[in-house]
Formats: sequence, C-alpha cells, structure tokens
Amino acid sequence: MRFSANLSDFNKILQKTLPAMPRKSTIPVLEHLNFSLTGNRLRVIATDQDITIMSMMNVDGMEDGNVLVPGKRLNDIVRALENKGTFEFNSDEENYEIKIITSFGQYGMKGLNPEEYLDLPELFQSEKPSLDTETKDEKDTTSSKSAFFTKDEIIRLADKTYFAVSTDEFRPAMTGVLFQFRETYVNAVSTDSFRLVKAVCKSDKPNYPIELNVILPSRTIDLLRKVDNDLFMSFIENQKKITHARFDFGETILITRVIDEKFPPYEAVIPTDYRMTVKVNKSEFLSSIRRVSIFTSSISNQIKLELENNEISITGEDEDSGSKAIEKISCNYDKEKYLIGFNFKYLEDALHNIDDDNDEVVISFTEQNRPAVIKAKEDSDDLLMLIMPVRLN
Amino acid sequence: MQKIKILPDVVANQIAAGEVVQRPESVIKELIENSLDAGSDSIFVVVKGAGKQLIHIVDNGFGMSKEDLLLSVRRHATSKIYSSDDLERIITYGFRGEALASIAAVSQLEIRTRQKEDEMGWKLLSEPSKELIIEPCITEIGTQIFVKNLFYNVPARRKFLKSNLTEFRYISDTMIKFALSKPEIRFTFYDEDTLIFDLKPSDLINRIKDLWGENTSSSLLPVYLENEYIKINGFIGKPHLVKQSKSGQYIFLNGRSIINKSISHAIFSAYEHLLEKSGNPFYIIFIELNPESFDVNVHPQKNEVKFEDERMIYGFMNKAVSKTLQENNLAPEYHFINQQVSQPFGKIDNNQVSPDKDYLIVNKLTGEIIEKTQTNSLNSTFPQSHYYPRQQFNHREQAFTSAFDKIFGNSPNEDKSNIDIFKTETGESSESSNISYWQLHNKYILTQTANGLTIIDQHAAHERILYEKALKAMNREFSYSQQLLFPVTVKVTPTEMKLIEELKTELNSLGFVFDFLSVDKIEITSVPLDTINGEEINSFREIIETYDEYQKVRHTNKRDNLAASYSCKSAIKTGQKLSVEEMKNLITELQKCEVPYACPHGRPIIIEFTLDFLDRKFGRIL
Ligand SMILES: Nc1ncnc2c1ncn2[C@@H]1O[C@H](COP(=O)(O)OP(=O)(O)OP(=O)(O)O)[C@@H](O)[C@H]1O
Ligand SMILES: [Mg+2]
Repeated sequence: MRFSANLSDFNKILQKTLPAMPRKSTIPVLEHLNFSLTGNRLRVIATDQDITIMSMMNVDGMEDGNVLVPGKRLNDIVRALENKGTFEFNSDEENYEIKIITSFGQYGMKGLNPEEYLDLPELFQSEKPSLDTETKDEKDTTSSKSAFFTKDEIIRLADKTYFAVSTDEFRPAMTGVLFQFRETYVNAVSTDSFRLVKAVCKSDKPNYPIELNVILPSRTIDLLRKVDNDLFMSFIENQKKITHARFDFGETILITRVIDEKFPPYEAVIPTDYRMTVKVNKSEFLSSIRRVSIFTSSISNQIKLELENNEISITGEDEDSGSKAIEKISCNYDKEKYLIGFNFKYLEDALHNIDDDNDEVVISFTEQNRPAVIKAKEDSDDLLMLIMPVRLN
Repeated sequence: MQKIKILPDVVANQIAAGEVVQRPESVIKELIENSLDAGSDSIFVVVKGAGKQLIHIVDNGFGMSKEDLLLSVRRHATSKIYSSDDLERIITYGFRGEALASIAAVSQLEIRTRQKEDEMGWKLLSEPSKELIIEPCITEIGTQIFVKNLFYNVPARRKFLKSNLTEFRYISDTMIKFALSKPEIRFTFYDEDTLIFDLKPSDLINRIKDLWGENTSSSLLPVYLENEYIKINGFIGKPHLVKQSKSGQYIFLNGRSIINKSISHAIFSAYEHLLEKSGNPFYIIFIELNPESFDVNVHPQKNEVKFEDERMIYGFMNKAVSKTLQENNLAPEYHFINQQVSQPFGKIDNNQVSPDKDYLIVNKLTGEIIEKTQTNSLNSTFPQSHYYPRQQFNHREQAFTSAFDKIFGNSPNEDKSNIDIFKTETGESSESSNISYWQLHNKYILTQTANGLTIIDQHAAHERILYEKALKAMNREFSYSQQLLFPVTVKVTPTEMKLIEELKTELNSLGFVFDFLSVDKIEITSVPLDTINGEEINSFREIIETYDEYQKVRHTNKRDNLAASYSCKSAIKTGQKLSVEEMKNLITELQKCEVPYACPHGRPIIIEFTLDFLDRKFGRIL
C-alpha cells in the first residue's frame, strides 16, 4: 500500500485509535495498528479485545493495501515530526517492510501480515448502515435499540459519573457505569458503595430505547469523556443478549464490551423521606472542608458536620497527633442539633462534580446510617449524588 | 588402717565429682566462683587442650591460710556457710564445700595461695589416692590453681567429653557469662598463648561493646522494671540483632547465670510481633530477687532455679521487655522529615598514630575512637587488649580470628545483615526538597538519604502502619467505619463463623460491621475507613483465614493476631504500582510508627546502603 497524507491529520487518527492499543500485550499483533487503504480512504483499527476503535480518514491513495504497523514506533516518529507538512507511507505486500518518507529523510520498520490480526468481523457487521447514519433522523432505519447523544450530552454523562466507579474486581457490576434508557431520558449511574452518582439526560421526544440497561466499563467512559463529535450509540447482540456497545462519532467507531452483571438496586437506597434539607454556598463549603481536612487523620479522612442554629460546624480531628480544626458556615437550619460524619474526600468529590456556574448546593439528610443526598438544585434531578456517612461512636 | 578409711572417701568424691564436675567448663566455673567469693577483682584464665590438659586460674583475692588450704580440698569443707539456716539465704557462689574436693578427686591439682598479711604463701599438691603435699612457696597475694589432666583417672568420664572445639565453646560461653555478670572485674582469657580477651573493668554496656563490638552495643535497649519483690534490668537487642541460635541470650539471677525456659519464653513472647518464629532475640537480663523466694540447689551445676512464684516472674519479665520495646522508637535516628540519615562515624587517616592501620574510625558525636577491628571482613570481633600495646599482638591476628570462630562456631559473615543502618544521626539539615522516590519492580521504594540509599519494602511498610493502627483501633474500642450503600453478603464456613462470632467486638472496632444472616452467611454493612482500596470485602475473608492460621503458630493474644492478619491482608501488595505521592505518604506514615523497621512478622522494612559502603564496593576506598 502507498499513500501520502498531511501529518497533522494523520496524527489525529493515531490519537483516536491508540487508546485501544495495549502498550504491552501477550499477543504481539495487538501492539500494532491495522492499516488498510481503499482508494483515498485509510482505515485504522486498534483493539485490546475489550475496546476496539476504528477510524477513517482521507489520504492521497496511490496503491491499495493492508498492513499491521508497530503502533508505538509509528506514534513516536509522527510526534517527532511535529505535525508539519506531509509524508509518504509505503509498504510492500510481500515482506511488509514499511517506509515513511518525509522531507527530512526516510524511516523504515518491519510491519506484519494483516492476516495475523484478530478476526473482528462480527463487530463490524453493521459497519455500513451506522457509519452512514450520522443524523438522528435516520436512526430508525437501524434498530430500536439505539440512541443519539450530542457531544455535550455524552461528555456530561461520562464526566459526572466517572469518578465514583468502583475498582473492586470482586463486585464487577460496580466497575462500570450503568446506562438506563427510558425512552425520554437516560440515567447514567455509578457507585463504589461508598457514594453514588446519577446523572440524567432528558429529551422531549421518545429518543431512547424504551427499557434498556447496560453497564459500560470505566475505561470506555473515560474515552467517552473525550469524544469530539455528536455520537450515535447502538448495541451488538449475541443470542438476544447485548455483548457490545458501539459508538459512532465523526469518522470513528468505538466498540466496547459491556459488563454482563446485575447492577445493584440503587433506586432503593436513594432516600425520599428527608429529615432536613439545607442549602449552602458551594465554594464556601469547599474551602472550609479543604482547610479543616488538613487537621484530620490522613488515614481516616473523617470530618464531622454539626447542624444547629442556622450554621454548619465542620470539625476535623486527628487524635493520634492531637490536631483539631473547626469552622462554621451558615445554612438554613434551625431545628434540633444534628451530627453526621463523612470521609471528606467524598464530600469534596461530590462538590467538585457540581457545575462551576452553580454556586449553591442542596444537601438532604435522613438518618446517620443512611446516605446524604447532594444535588445542584433543589427541584432538579439532573445530577444526584449520595454519600454514605461514616459511623460515629 | 588409714588407707582403708581414705579409700571410701576417694570413691565418694569421685561420685560427687560426677555431679559437680562434668567437663572442663564446670571446673572453670567453680574455680572462678571461688575467686569471686574470695573478693578478687582480676581473674586470669588459661586453658590448654580445651581444659582437658590444663586449666590455670590466677586471682588476686584474699587467699587462704595453711589450715584452710588443707581443708579446702576436703568434702563439705567450706568457709561460706555454717548451718543449714544459712542455706536459705546464699549470697556467695559457693556454699556446699564440694567443688575443690570434687576437682581434686578427678585431676592433678595444685593450689598456690597467699594471704595479704603473710610474707610467704603455701603450695598444695593433690593427686587422687595420694597423700597431700603441702609446702611453703613464694607467690603473689591471692590464689593460683592448676588443674591438670582432668579425668585422667576416670577413663569413662574422659571418653564422655566432647571434641576440643565443643568443650572450648562451653568454656568461652561461661567466660562471657562471668564477664557480663561482673563487668567491674578484669577478666583475661587465653587459649594456650592466644589471647581471647582481656577485658578491663568497666560497666555493663561497655563490657558488651568490648565483647561484641559497637554494632551490638549500639543496638541494645535498656530494660528496667522494679517492684517490692523483684528488680529487672539489663539490655535487649533490637530485632535486627536476631540470631538463629540461642547464643545471644543471658539471664542472671542475683548475679548467677541461669537457664530458665519460662523466663526465656516471657522475653521471646514480648518480641513476638517483631520476630520470625525461629528468631532468637539478643538479651542480657539481670533479675534481682530475695534469695528466699527461689531455690538454686535443684541442680548440682546451680544453673537451674526453682521459683516460688514462677507466674509472677513470667508476667513481670514479659512486661519489662514489652515496655522497653514499646517505649523505644526502634529506628530512632532515621529522620524521615528532613530526609536525613547520617552516620556519626567518620574516618581519619592516621598513619602516625598507629603504624599497622591506615585510618581510624571516630564517633563524631562522642569523639570516641573506634578501632578498626573490622579486618578480615569481620563484622564484630573481640577487641584488642586494653592493657598491652596493640602491636604486641600483631602476630596473633590469625589466631585471633580463629579463636573468634571457635567461640561462635560460625562464619564471621553470618551477621552481615546487621548493617548498622539504624545507628544514624541527623546531619546538618539541608533543605533537600526534591528528593526522588523510585519504585523498584513495584516492590521496593528507593530513596536518597543524606548518607546513601534507603530501600523500603512497600508491603511490609504498609503492613506495619496498618498493624499499629489496628491495635490502636482495637484498644480504643471504637472505629472509623465507612458504611456501605450496598451491604455485601459473605458466605463462611462453620469454623470461620465461630471465629467471626468470637472476634465480633474486635472486628467491629477495626471497622467491619456486620449482621449474622444465617448459620453460614453474614452481611457486611460497614468497612474500615483507612483501607479503602476496593478490596475490603475480600480482605475480610482473608483476615479470618489468616487469623485462623496465626492462631496456631503465634502465641500472642487475640488482638495482636487479628491486627497482624488484618494488616497483612489489607496492606498494599507487592507488585502494586505506586505514585510518587503514595510513596511519600507511605514513608511519612511509617515514620509515625512505633516500630518502623520491622513488619509484624519480623522482616525488615528499611535497609540502608551508605555511600561509604557503596564506595567500598566500588573500590573507591579500601
Ligand atoms: N580462690 C580462692 N581464694 C580463697 N579461698 C578459696 C579459694 N578457692 C577455695 N577457697 C576456699 O576453699 C573452700 C572450699 O572451696 P569449694 O569450692 O570446694 O567450696 P565452696 O566454694 O565453699 O562451696 P561450693 O562447693 O558450693 O563451691 C572455700 O569455702 C574457700 O574457703
Ligand atoms: Mg566453690
């Protein structure tokens, strides 16, 4: 195969696909990018078997062909060429000797026979229809199990939920983000059992599958935080069971394995019978926590909140070193004294997760052994977070 | 007729000798005790053929009169007790009046003695079945005893003796015990013409230094505990002085070296969480107890005792040692905060002072000159004579080394691990803010210190941190516990269930809160706050399993066991990648630990390689 291309465009396609290429793999072909050229269309595929990314770009095609290119070396030279000018890519179909020719000189490396690459046919079966389907109007032509997200929508769902994903391999359902499609809205939910986030995306039309749950691995969520285009989401099934989710955006397709587990029944733990709800200034609260937390034990991370007389007293203490701090901020609460403890990191995470332009936070409490509920606005469920308190003795 | 009268006596003495005198070492022990009883402050011992050929002892005590000299070799002739009432409160070593008679029965014995007030001394020659010969002689004040050809007349006994090497080891062990129990007395010890040691009058810690070197003496912690019945003092070694044999363990009761399993165990179990099962801590412990509350006369060699209240002694000893271990920050001079570790030792080139070595080692803190004894790659060795100019013994260097080998019977390199990294002091503190942390094979943390390189075992370090936190948490009886949104059900075996029931309070205070669902299921609703690493639930199971194992091999209490299993299972694993922040944090937390240098199983956490050591290895200095 032979083509020439603009280096900065070429770099973009590399950066899109490389995240799916493992740095080190027991299967060496996976450390390669799968290149194929048809006319002026260059297709690049990378996979680590959990996530597969395919991306396309226009090049000046000279000779069609197919080759596996060592990903790391290619990326290194493209970086070192600093995105300037054009280059020519050249590989022979017999020995897969790859040549990259630039105005500076020539670089050669050994490629591999594309036949050695993993078989991914079933993943790309529906390649044509969805690649062509870039607008939501046409989505009905595929399956009813698909959804359209604008770039901002998908980034928001991913961003808001990513931090609370669990790393506990013994509870795999929690190592991903649950997407619950309910015709006119989607809930994205993550939890590590210490806290929980639910971000909601609504539509005025019945835009989403009527009733569908799928858990996406946290690595996929991380990639979705960086998409650069509106996105079309569909599913790959095997014997009526969803095995993969597929995202088409721009000229890229991302296919990810889904986590085939039962997500914990999270709705049941969201309290509705609040004993009290307070509003506080978010940045004030955050700064207080930051200062007080300096005096907590670096291991327990525990702070206490005491509500009384329209004030929240925030205290942190480390008995071992004898340090202690207390701050007060105002809030709208004047009933009997209420005391609750938290890992301050979880409170901080939750407060940071509220949009910057939202300078108020609404916190609702029930009992000491039930979660506190944090929201950006009292009357909106767009973003809801639960934090489980620390046991106070 | 006289002969007939004497014979049964000889036989009786031979029989008694079998009990008192078992080997050359017992002769030396008896004779030194006599010398000490005679108020000597300098005792000189020479042995030949591991004491089988000759034992020669010279003291500067008060000597004997002619009459006493004649009596001394007779059975039950003693100047030390007069009635059996006196037996109840023995303050001298001797009390039976048996030792000399027993020795005389199985060897050729010569005693020369002179009292201060006399101008002339007396010489007594004794041989079994022969008349005693006594005659005046010219001799120094004090007593000299020659024991020749021990057991020559009792071939069965002689055959029973072990190899010279082994017999010599018994002797030197006894010599060390006397040297320790009487640091104020000068002991000079020769193997034929090889000087083993010449210990100047001193205090205990310096005596230890003279015997084992600075490495050992600087790794000791003082022990002291007293009440109205009993007083315990002495020194215990930091865990890195641990040995595979029991050779570094000395217990003295009212100045007398004793062997007592129960006391040894009391000491060992205080160390339990710091040492491997097979490790033997180093200790030199003195117990003072009213002589009426124990019995030394249970064994002819007097090294076993029976206590009236052994349990009290056990508990008290255990407490004394535990107290010291707890009170001492055992890696005291490692200054984590300044990232400064430095040795107080400096080297001065000094060709003039002593021609046989090219430099001296100086303790920069005390100004004390430490002789360069580490020749021949010995890590510790007996010091040179303090009485004679060093040069005089130069030709003995070789013999000296082999005497060392003889005594410890092990390769001098055995204690190599004992690189003295904890013997450190703060250097001039410099604002070294950009210290780097390296992780080696996701296993060890490497960091620069003022004096070289420190390597920290990440798992062991974290284990230690959690272990101490866990013990604290359990003693606090309340927990930091993060509640779970989604409780976890754990299925357990009947044995595990028993353990969980038994340990409920302790597990709760660690932060595990759970309900019993059925005979084989519990539901965990809350987990420890300080180890949230995504594996709390799995840890719970493993903790119970490990606890069960530990219970079989460790002899500590429930809490200690639980803390050890908890920390082992919750700690950062070997193989886990750590960020620089995490490494820093770990080291800061480690610094806060009471025992930052050994994990609960006794493995070391920190190892340091000094620049000096590296320079040597790279041949920059010789
Ligand atoms: N080095 C010595 N200096 C002065 N007197 C000595 C010395 N050695 C022995 N004697 C005298 O000889 C006596 C007998 O000594 P021997 O060791 O046989 O008995 P003991 O010390 O009284 O009792 P034990 O049999 O328990 O040792 C002693 O009581 C002491 O009076
Ligand atoms: Mg005696």
